[in-house]
Amino acid sequence: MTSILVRANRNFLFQHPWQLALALIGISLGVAVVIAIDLALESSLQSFQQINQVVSGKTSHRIIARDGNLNEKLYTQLRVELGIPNLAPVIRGNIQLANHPGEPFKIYGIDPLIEDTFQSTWRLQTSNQKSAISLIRLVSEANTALIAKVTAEQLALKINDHLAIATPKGTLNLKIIGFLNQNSTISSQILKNLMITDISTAQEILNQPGKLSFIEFMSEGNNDKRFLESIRNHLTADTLLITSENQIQSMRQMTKAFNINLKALGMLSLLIGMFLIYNTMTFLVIQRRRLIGGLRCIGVTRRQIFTLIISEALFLACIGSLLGIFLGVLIGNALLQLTSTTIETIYYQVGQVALIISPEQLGKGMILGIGATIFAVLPPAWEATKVSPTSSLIRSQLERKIYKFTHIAGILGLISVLGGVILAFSSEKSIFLGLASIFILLFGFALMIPGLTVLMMKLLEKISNHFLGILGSLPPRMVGSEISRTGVAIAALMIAVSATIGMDLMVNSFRQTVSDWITTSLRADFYVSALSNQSSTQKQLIDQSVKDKINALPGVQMLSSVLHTRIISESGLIKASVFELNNKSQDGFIFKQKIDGNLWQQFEQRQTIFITESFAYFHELKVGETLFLHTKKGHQPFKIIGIYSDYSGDQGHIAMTRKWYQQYWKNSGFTGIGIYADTNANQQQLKQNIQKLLTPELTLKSNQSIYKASMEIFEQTFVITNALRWIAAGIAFTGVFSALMALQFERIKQFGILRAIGVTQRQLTLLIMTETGLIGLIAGVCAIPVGYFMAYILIFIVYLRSFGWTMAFHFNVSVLFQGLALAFTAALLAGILPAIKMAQTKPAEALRSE
Amino acid sequence: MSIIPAVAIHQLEKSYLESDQKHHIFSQLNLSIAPGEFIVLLGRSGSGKSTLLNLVSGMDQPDSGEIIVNGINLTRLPEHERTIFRRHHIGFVFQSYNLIPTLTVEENLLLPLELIKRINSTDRKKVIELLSKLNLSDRLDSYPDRLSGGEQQRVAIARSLIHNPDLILADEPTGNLDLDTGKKVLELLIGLVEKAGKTLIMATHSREVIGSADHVFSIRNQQLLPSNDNL
Repeated sequence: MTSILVRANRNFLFQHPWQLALALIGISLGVAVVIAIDLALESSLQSFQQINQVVSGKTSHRIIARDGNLNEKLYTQLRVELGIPNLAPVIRGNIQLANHPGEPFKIYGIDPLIEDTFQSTWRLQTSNQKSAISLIRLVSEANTALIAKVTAEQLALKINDHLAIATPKGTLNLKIIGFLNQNSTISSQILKNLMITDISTAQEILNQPGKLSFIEFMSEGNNDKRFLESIRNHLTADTLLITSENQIQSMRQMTKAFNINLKALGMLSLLIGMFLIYNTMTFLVIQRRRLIGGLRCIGVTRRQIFTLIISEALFLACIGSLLGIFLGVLIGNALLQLTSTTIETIYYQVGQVALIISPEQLGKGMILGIGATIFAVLPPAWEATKVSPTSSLIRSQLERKIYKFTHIAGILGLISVLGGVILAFSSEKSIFLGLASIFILLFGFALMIPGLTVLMMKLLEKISNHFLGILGSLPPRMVGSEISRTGVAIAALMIAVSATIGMDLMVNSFRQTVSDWITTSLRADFYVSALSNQSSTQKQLIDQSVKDKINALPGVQMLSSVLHTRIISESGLIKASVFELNNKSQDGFIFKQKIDGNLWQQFEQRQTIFITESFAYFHELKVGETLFLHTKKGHQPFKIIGIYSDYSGDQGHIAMTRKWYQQYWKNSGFTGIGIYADTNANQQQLKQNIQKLLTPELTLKSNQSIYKASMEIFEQTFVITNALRWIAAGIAFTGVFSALMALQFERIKQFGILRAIGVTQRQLTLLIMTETGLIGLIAGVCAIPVGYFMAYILIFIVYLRSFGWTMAFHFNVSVLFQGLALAFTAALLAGILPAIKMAQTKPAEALRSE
Repeated sequence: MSIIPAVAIHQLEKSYLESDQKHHIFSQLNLSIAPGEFIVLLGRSGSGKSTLLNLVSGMDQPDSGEIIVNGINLTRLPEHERTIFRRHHIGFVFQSYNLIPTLTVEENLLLPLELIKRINSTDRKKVIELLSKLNLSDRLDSYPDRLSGGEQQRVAIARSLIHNPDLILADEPTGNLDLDTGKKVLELLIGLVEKAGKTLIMATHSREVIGSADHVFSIRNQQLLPSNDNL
């Protein structure tokens, strides 16, 4: 390709800088959102791994207790009695600084004298002579701690200064005897607000004498098989040996649905971004038909034209993707806190998080950006090669060709929609395929948009011609006759708005389902529960004595209770809810199957359990099947007699009566107590009386306040989804804006003619605004059924597969109107600037332009 | 009683800024055209023929001076008023036809009428009559891109006359046509304008029209000078 040829093309691009900019925005925003989500999700997970690396180093196995509290005697037994090497005991928890009460801080109690094999970060970083002394001091001196240098600087602390910690027994001053020197920005963020002490100091601060959170084990090969076997033989029914890899795998598995759903939202942005790229590149090709035709006239081959367009797209893709990666890192940083908060609310403790950027992720962003751009530019590049030297100057030929294409696109669209529906219903449990079916559906509907637009515009043209005359019929004619330009913009806007409608309907349905479920579940008048223990990762439990005292209060009709715990099953650690129920609280269960009259009798009197529907979905269990649980009396069969709705977590749990729990596991107190007042009791008085019985760690709440708090958590989990949805809508808006700008500037001469024959500025503005309004309306009208379809698939396919929940579809007309209004407003807003610019252009100038 | 000139231009000044340099088009230009006269403007490309037509139509504004059309001083009218004036009193024929591509031939002709009043069956009849005079009665429902250059220009002529304006401005109406077609189009335009008794200002390179013109001017050195057919 000659440099002059490239220059001829490049000059055209630089003469249209705003189109160039919008194309770059399309690529970079699409890439940015995908990168941001990927970085935020991976960083949340990797931060967790990095904290483990800091504290325990390289480990292969972990011994955990089902209730989170290991007896330290197990460590002594394994280490001293059995002589097992490479064991690292850890106790961890949350602490509060006496002088900075709001500052979240974590403590890790470790054994500073463990073997070098672990290569823990703190050990590596304190391996010089001076630091070695610090380690010895950590054991030999009471109440000493290591903190990160960054934390010390933040708290204005020096070596040998004291840090006051609030403990249940009062304030404890810890002497800072050394720093955990972070060697990178990541480790500085990970180590921030983290403290390392020896085991006994941490146990004292956390008020958990004799307890450990877990014991790490480093297996070095086949020789350790016997050690592993010895460990297993010494484990009780309440303890479990898991591999570190399994733990990470199970965390990945736990957040798989969350990850896939968020990544799908990112891909939606990229898809809309692709429309934007396609749109811009199509415009650039169409606008250059004259130039291309001219080049073809002087002997430039089709291949050269194709190469020219593709290399131009490649250039834009590289710049756009680089910008996207940069922007993605910025957005990723902002999303990180949101994702980790959501993960922490729903799944597991993440701790301190830092944005961890890997070259693979950045490479992935580049490939995605370039791939999406090339894919989007292939049709217009192909179209450019079809420009014959003679036909290039006849614009109407192109429109006629595209007009014919709308029929083919419509048929292809219909096939895609059918394919999407078939895929949605036939892809069994795959979340990925469920979401892919939505993308295929969206793509199919998008392909049908040009044909539908032409049909609708023809109808509207007839109506408006009749009532508003020729000038009034111009907007629908302009939309329909230039479908090559308007079609893509409408499709992009339709996808964004349908995503908004679909997500809104889904969230509304979910919200209503959860609201109904909470209202049904909360049968008691008051609930006593333990506050999240500040000095432990575990929730404190309520004593039997407190329950007895409440029961004895006047005005209390009856009580119910629950203990949320974990039990070891055939498939590992599972969540369990242990209930003491009464007639009223039994009504709080919404069963997914028909129940017979003696269900509750069976539940109370036989060795049976209920399971939540998500538990049933993920473990593929049905009513009538048996689940084996590890108990102090060996593996015990529990028959599943009911599956019930529960939206408190997406992994699900089992439910059993306290009577059966106590038979096989130790009595552990209660997580919550439900209090049912007598019908004629003075509830205010009763509330005060209960309050008097409670220690500061316990809280009393009415069912309304629990409802409110639960709904707040619900809304919080959708914050990130909403943010991403608006980003997608923003990209679509850019697409419409870009399309309208290009369209109006291209029509400048046509507007000049209208002005020449006497159309006023106001009439012209109205004309352009009506056209853009129409674009918005078509997008909005088409987005309604598509959004509805999307919501249906999200609710009944994707969410069921992701979380195992079934929801009722709650149709909300206002959501549809909001979607319509969004599309209309977005298009109108996008049309304002071009309309003003066009109306202000002098007719003489407009007539001179080509 | 003195006759009001169809077009009167006094002391017209017009310049363009090009790369920070002022480029003068007209300087102290004066002109008076009586109603029904046919004026031909000659001049090299870029001499300002189109600019003068744009100024007379009110599509452009001078730096100073006055342009009075049918007794209305266009230079004193705001933009909106000038548009309304143009809508009623001026018909335009362009070199590149400039028909609205999304409207049929009939609609292209009806649009100037619709801008003035509500269209009725008489207007439609008028369109058909005018098109048959131009031998285009079979192209009523055709879109402009289906017509030949000559046909498009004939439609443009019909559009410039349909609303019965006082002044017709033609900017190189045969510039895009071959010699034969151009000749026929000119004959049609001049014939129709004369018959209707309208004033016509035509910017052209064509020598054929000079004989039919009442006055021929040439734009040279930013002035309008009577021409002796010396292009």
